[in-house]
Amino acid sequence: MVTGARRLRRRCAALVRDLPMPVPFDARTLCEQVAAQRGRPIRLMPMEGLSGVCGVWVATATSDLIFYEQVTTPPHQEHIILHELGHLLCDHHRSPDALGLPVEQLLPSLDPELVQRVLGRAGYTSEEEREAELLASMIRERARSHGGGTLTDRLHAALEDQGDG
Amino acid sequence: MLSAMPGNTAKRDLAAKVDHLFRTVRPRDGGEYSFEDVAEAIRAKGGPTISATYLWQLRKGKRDNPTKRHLEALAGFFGVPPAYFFDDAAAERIDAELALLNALRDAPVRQIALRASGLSARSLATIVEMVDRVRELEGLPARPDDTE
Repeated sequence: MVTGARRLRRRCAALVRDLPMPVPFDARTLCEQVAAQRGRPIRLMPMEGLSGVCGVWVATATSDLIFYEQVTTPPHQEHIILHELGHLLCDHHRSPDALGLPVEQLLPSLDPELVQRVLGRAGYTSEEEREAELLASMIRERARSHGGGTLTDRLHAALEDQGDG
Repeated sequence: MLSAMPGNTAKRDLAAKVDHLFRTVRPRDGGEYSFEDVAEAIRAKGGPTISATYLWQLRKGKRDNPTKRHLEALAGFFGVPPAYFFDDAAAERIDAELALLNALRDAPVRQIALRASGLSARSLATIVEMVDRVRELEGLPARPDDTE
């Protein structure tokens, strides 16, 4: 699990490094730029009365939606949007739990088996998982064939080998 | 407080709760579980003997004397904690989760993440609203209202 955590950290560091940085900084502009970079629209959805939730990120097959509380200060709104953008950026390359839902957070009282029974697994994240799997193997392949690459590539390859072995 | 008739409330509540479970917890494809489905599943899991007829009577409010084991088995089948039948505050919260589960059924949602700890029934209702908005934005028809 340590390598899992390290991997996630490394991935996030790389994600942040690759992020566009609008000047002057603005969360909404950043969302636009990230959307353009990913080729997937990000819709910002202000809502009232999200009390206790602040923000929610929802991914559909074609777009990402960030719901955020609109009845709060602009800096807080920006903070919420960035937080949800963070989810979006990290989770895209992570294999999430089978349903792609934080089931324990959303449906803590319900039997997980019931949740699976009602929602099913197929179609939810199988594509996402395939994508993540492909990405991982491509990175590994590239690191091996290059033998060198960047320091990050070499570290990555070494850790991957260790993790798989 | 319409139904606050002494001696009648518990019976109504139990029947209403059983009815609600049948109507909201449905198999992925298809309609409600049948009384036979439920009785058979409880039997298969080694639970107490409970007949399809008796389940029908509980749902219709014609019987209101189930044993604790009956209620536990019924709760187990529908995937809710037994507190659903005994604790109204818990039932409210569980109903909110069931409503969200139904909103997510066939919703065009692949992933959700949110920033929250300890979601209230009201917060869950807000998330149901969001999921329905996503549905609408993706051009899907509104869900039939199954939680009334």
